[in-house]
Amino acid sequence: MLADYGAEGGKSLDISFPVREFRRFVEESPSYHQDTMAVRVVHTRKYVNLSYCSTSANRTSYSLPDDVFQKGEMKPAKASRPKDKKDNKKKKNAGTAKTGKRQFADTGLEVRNVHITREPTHCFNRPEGRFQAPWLTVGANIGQREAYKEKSFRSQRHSRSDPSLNSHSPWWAHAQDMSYFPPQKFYGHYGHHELFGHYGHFGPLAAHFSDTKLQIQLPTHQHSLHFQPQPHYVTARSRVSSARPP
Amino acid sequence: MRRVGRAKKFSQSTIDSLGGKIFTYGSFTLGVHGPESDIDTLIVAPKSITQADFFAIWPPTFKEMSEAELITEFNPVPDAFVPIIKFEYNGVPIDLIFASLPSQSTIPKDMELDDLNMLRGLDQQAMRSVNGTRVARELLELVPQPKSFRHALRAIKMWAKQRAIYGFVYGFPGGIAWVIMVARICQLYPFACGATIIAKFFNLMYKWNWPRPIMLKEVESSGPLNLPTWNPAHNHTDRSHLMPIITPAYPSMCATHSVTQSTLKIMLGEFQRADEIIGAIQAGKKSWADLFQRHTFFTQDYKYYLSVVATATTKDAHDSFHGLVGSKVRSLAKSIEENVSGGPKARTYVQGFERVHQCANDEEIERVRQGILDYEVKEGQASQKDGGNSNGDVKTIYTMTFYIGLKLPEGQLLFFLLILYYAC
Repeated sequence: MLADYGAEGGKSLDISFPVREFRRFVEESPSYHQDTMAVRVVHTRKYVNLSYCSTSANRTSYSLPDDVFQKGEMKPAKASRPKDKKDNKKKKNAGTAKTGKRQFADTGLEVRNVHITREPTHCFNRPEGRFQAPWLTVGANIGQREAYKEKSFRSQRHSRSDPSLNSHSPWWAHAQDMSYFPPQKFYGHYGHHELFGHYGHFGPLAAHFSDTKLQIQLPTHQHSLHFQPQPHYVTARSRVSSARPP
Repeated sequence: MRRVGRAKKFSQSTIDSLGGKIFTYGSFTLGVHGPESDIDTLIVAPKSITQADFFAIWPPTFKEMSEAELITEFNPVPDAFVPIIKFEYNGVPIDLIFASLPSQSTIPKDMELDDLNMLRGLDQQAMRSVNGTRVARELLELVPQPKSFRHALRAIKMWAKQRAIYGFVYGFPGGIAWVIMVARICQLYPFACGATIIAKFFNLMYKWNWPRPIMLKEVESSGPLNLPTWNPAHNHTDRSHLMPIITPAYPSMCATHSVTQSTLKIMLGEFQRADEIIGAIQAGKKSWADLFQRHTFFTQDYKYYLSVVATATTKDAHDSFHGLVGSKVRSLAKSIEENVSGGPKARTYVQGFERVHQCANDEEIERVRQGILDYEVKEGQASQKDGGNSNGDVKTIYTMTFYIGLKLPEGQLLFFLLILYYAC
């Protein structure tokens, strides 16, 4: 089990016993009625990084809700990671001939330090089933800088798109080549998809059962992600301007 | 009392002499209540009126005698640790408890609860109900200057709430403990004004040699009623109290037995911070606003949190269940600190967050139980029928969420978080 916490310099935290005891205390109370009452202990993060998110159906782990903050309080934002040698190495290998992917910088996208709200995004012009409706939205506090980037992103997209498509085509028609799917930042490998359907989604993870216990590995910056294009398109900026390209 | 007497077919002379009296206790009695404070009230009745009579007769009588629109909330909780009726009358929240005195067949108008003989035969539950009033009255008598005491107490209570260290059930001092602490400083500095008492309070509380107890007078260990009092020399449970703050009225009890090593450390840190700020205020470098700055529990202090979600499908079940879960959250945090290897620190936030959800099916209800807020509605928008189908098949679900912040020792990172859900 994950008892190597102390010896390994602190890598695991097994709180199964306290949680089990707590539930037992509550459920054995004479005033507890199973039909009308329930108690759960769930893990909550201070903030959710966009790259750790999956579909709504798999999302059982969530960031701190708005009502715990008072007016004027800044919701915590994840600080951007300082560049290191590993990053440079990754960047060099990112656009290899093998995958044919462009580097992230080439997409003109930059989504950092944004918060995810629990409201589903309204999706315009999206045929159902073709693109999965994203549940992610970016908080309303996107500033002018981001709005400018959005404009810039859209203009780049036009220049790259099929010349047969014009501005009256639905926006997703421009996204037929995979270059429009934001790489790296947005996709994770959901190899254990069905597992998290019930036990909660913690982002691009490794997870396995050990005896009777579920071991969940939280994503960290140290862990490289497996990037696979997924058939849902995370439009972090789709609420900033209209759905139809200018 | 008269209605119960008539229901029990007492003679008219007995009914006329029964009597009863209403006392207040808590912040209202001490004169430190605010616009959002409730009024803690105790009804004392003679022995022939039982608690069951009170819960059966008083609610309909009160509703009959009041204008219906003035009563906005009315929740009798007869099964609580201290049975209580919580209601809001004309916008004022009132907590009403009841005590029947076994030694009294009548309650005269001038009766006071100072006389210990009045308490003869009271069970533990009734004793707890009566003791709130007795402690409040005795406290005011033991404080040299009530005016400066009130000024300082208002400020200290506000500071403690802002710093999230106020709440007995979460392992911090509750209302009465903060009152006794401030009263002790007032005794030590009998001529000091409110501001001086605040300054001395933080300095002394930080330097206090815990677990040396804070007492306003000598503990009466051998009273006429032979009730158990706080005595660390004879009781090993009392010896284990880390921050003993002892109530003045007989039988003296420790008002802070829920304090743990972890919460004590947090409080000492807060006392130190406040002491330093007071020094800076006196030097003209900081303002009083800096002292009352809000805590950073959610914004800075922790990276990982546990949410304890108490879910109920009816309003009545919710009212009783969230109290039960809230009282156990402290033990969960303590258990994480004591039983999990690696020395994590777990701190309970001193308030639960109440939310109302509307779900269309069992799957959505299960997601609400897991803490998902996709189905949250404002309380006014929720359908009136609990768990019913007033709006199609929509069911109203009530949740109360408590938060525990998790912190690891310096330099250690949390890579794995394991929760054995056990059919969560």
